[in-house]
Amino acid sequence: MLTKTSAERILKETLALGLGDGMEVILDGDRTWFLQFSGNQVRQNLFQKDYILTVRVVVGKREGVVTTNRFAGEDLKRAVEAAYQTALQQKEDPEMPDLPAPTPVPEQNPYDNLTIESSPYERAEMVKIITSRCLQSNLLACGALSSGDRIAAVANSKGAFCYHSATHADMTLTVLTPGGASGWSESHSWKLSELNVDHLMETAIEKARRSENPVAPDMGHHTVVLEERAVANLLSFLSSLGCGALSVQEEKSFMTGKLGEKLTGDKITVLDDCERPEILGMPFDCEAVQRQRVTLIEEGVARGVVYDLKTAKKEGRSSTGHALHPPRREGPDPHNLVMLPGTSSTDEMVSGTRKGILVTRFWYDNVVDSKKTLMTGLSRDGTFLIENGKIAGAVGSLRYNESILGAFSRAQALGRDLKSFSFGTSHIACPSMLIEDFCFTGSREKYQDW
Amino acid sequence: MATYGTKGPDGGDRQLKERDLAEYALDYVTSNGATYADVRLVQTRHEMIEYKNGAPAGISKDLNGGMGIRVIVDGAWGFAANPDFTKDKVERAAKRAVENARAGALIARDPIVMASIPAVNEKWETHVETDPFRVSLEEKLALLSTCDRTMRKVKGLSFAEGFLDFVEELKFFYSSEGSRIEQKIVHSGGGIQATAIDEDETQVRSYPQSFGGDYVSGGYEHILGMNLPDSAQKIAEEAVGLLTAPQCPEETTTLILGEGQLALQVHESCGHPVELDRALGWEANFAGTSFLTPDRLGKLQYGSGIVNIVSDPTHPRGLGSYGFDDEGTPARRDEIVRDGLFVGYLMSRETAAGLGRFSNAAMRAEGWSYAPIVRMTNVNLLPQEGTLDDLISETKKGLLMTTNRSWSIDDRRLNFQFGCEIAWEIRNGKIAGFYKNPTYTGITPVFWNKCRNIAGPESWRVWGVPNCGKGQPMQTMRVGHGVSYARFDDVQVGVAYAH
Repeated sequence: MLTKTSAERILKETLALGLGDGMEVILDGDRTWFLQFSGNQVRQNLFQKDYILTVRVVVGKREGVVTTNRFAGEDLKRAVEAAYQTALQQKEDPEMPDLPAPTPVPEQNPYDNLTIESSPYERAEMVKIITSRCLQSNLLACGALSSGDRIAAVANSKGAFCYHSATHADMTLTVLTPGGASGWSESHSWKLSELNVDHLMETAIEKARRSENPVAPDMGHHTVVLEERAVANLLSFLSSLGCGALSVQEEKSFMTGKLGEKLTGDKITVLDDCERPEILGMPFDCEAVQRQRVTLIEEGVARGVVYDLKTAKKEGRSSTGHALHPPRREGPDPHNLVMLPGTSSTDEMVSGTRKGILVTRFWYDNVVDSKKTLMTGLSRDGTFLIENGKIAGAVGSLRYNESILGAFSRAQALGRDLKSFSFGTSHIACPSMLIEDFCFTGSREKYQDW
Repeated sequence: MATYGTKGPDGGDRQLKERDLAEYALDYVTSNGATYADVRLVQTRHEMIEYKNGAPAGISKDLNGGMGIRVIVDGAWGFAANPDFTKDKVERAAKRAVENARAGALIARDPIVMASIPAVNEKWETHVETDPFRVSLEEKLALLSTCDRTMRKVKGLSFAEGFLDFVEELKFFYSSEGSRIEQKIVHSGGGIQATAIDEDETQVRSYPQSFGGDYVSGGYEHILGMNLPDSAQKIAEEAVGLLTAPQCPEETTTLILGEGQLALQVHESCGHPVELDRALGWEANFAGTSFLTPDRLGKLQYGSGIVNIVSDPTHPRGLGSYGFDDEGTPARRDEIVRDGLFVGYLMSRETAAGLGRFSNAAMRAEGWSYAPIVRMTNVNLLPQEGTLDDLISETKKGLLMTTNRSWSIDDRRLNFQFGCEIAWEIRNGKIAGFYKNPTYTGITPVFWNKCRNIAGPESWRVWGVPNCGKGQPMQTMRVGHGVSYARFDDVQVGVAYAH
């Protein structure tokens, strides 16, 4: 791993080249061990490592950006020179903010040495527990176990320097029956030892077995119980559709002109908070500004969006610490989303539903209409009919077309527990959700005769 | 090793040193138990320019390189990626690759068998008329600025945007079977986009296709050949016009697809389901499986009799074109669908061996730090006869869609739904107007079996899809799809907004 000392040395060497009127440099990367398996055997077992240096040179109100994974000696000089030359060919941007002065950022480094020190044999043994069990049960295990560490460090020519390191451990599992039915489960932590392999395996096996012989329901509006992964997908897209200040300023966001207005039901409160124990995210952004806790939606009311330096300057306010890598064309974005929990359990939601559908996860979600937050996607790996409070059978893969805000407006209950998920370097922690009148429009199970 | 700016590859001592280290890695792993090994050196430079409302919105340059070492030890795969070109770091990576394979062998049940390929010592490179990295930034910005000014003259337009994107990849492949392959692949892409926004909606029109434009294997001549400024005013006017256009109705109708949208239709509903690793269940945990299982090979009528689809990485301009894949297999054209019948897969050496076939050079990796997986090449829908005008004139009532806005398909590649930027209404054989927010949905083999006409070679060309995601860990790949225009009967449209 690139330690804090090593990262600081590299960033200082870069800044010492001193081209332009100011510089911002970011060093980030990871080491990952990744074991992918299917059909109860390993398909790939790999190790990846890469660190990327991003150099932003400022000349007056112009900037040039270069990224490279080669930053020793002459390579470093060439990268900085290339960024400088690019800046010289840019137009002046009168809205460009100044580089920020250094401010203290509290360190938050959820780092587990045992995760990094585990051997490939130990990780293979974890997977073998699953493949052996599935082999004995005439099932097929397909999944991935990854673990590793990542670092991010940001510095600028005004003396700012921040460093963050974290480990991660993630396992996802799909179990297939001989008939092709599938069940899914996953587990994530920053400690490899905290992945609950047994629970994950039993959950996926049970879902796979229950998914056999699917019968598609009538299309239309149904009460749904969405497990946490399904909610996380919707929340991730909602965030990308307008929780950053640039999209509001450009009037592309569903939040535009709606701050202070009711957008969803009372049960929905969404924050961006890197300090939540379920998340423990990077406490600063790519401009070396400390991340603030931002309330995006509070009891259904639009409360705020996240800012970087440029969008904050435009409104005469402070950055909330949500800048992405330069050149930042897309503006700031939430990075550590939290939907506050409710008071139910997922089982209670199911048992309280007379007729409905339980969704394990969604797949291939995509935006149909951004301002309406209209999405489409499909359920997968465990979609079940609920009748009289019990799982009554499988329904296969269902296509939905639904507005996220509309669905969240019809949320009747939220789970009391949060589950956390990683989307690249972003994180989401959210509960399960009971929603009325969720709209399904299609099913492949209705076309068995093709 | 590539350099920044306009100098191009510098060759020289470093490249020789890196090649020596690749040979060293190969020697190390074969001396430590590898029964097969390959080493890939990949060095990529990338320039991206984005222009928005009168000014550059982002100019970025990237240089990235490293080594990927793949081995078979004890009958299992191991892989390690290494960005550091020192002997000790390369040895450490080689050791890791061997160790990963040995650990994986604890789980492996079936030993790996690979279809044979010839060992070759070859060079291959993309045909480039004008090296995009030698065209000045000033010239590139001037082109985008011209488009920008034209678009912003249209009243009511909110955003004018332009994109240029250039990649040069130097790849060196070394295998324990004796292959030594050097490739230089150049991709050029670009496009323009007009956005109109009112209180309730956002409407976008793009040229020549959405999400960054169109990409090919080739040089700056592709950018000039698209004549971006000529389409700037038209798409800006259409974007503004869409704000007040009628909503696409919900109905079952005749649908003509073409250009980027037909390319994406081929991509999602044919390209992915014929990846043999998917069909074998190897991607079940992420990308999904396929309804085109091996028992249907040679039996399933995938489409109507006029549907012929090939994999062709030898096409000179496709974004999925190359001389050799990342296992060193020579590129070749292969049939996927013949007269509507499903007859072939995209295959690697390992997956092909399982079917008793030979690889058709579809095994590729993103950069140096990923192990190769089965990927699309240029998966092309072959032309038939006639023109787009013929298809329209033969349509009493229907819609024409060409530019994608949204896409989604299930994990077996059956139930798809696409949204497009605009739908042109066809009435009595003529374009009669346009609708906003069009969507259509279907089931893959049902849809392709209702393909009634495919236009001829005059309008056929290969479109680039630069953002194909697949695999765990997820890799992004650049692929191509040759299409003209095609007409489909009885397609359900408008469903996304109907509820």
